[in-house]
Amino acid sequence: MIDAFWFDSLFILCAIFSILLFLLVVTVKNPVYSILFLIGGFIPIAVIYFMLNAYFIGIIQILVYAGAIMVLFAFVIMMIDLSKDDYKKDKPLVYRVFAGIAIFIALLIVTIPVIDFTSGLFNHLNSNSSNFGTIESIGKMIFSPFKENYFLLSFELVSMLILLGIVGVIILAKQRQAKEED
Amino acid sequence: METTFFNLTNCLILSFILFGIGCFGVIARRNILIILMSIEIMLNAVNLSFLSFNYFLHFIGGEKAHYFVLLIIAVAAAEAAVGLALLVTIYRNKKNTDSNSLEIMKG
Repeated sequence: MIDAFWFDSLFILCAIFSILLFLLVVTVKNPVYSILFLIGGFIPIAVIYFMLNAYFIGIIQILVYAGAIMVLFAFVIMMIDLSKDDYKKDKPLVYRVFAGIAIFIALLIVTIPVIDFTSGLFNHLNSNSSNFGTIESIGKMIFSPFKENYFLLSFELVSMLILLGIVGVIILAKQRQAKEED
Repeated sequence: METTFFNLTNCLILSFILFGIGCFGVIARRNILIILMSIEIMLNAVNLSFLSFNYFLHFIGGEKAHYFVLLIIAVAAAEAAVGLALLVTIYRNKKNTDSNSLEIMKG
């Protein structure tokens, strides 16, 4: 239905946009712009998730990552005084560029065997059922406790983990009020 | 067109580049907020590699990869929240968000 040319060009477009936007996140000085570029970079990533038949994960990425986590970041930026950032204390640009190149080479050494192994080995294939990766089929997998996929317990434990996160955040960020004795 | 761009190798290269960008952000930036955002970039790169392996290996695990990515997103949310709470506490005590000023245990 969708021929390979449009799929490829959409993939290259999304790849270039995501790399560009995430590069802008780590290089601009103003953290407010970094938040905006991060949200913008999640959109091409979600498009790639949709191309990989991961419809549920793509929607969850936009809802949770771009919709909830970035809102947290925006609230914290609101509470922080950004005029006190001292850009004179940055290390010289040469150091940071060298650090970037060193990281790139180190990761390249680690991932070249993987890339070499996977090139040309597996071909592009369409999904075998039209229901794959949708909310309905992932919901059936998570919420049916007695089949061979037993993910209900881990799902409930993840909700416990998020509750732990909430409790931790409140304890960490609560301001200690000076108690006055009557 | 026989050679296509949308194959496992190129998806892994994209994941690798994004992971490198995230690593660079964690190491080379002093603002703790930017460091937290770079951690989110790294987690996104890992999610992309999970889903691309699942797709290009003919869905070898079924949808378990999707569920694992959901768990990773949940953990990333909780960790971002706790990291931001730490950042707020640090800012209250030191009045700046510089990671170079956290050097009480140095030397």
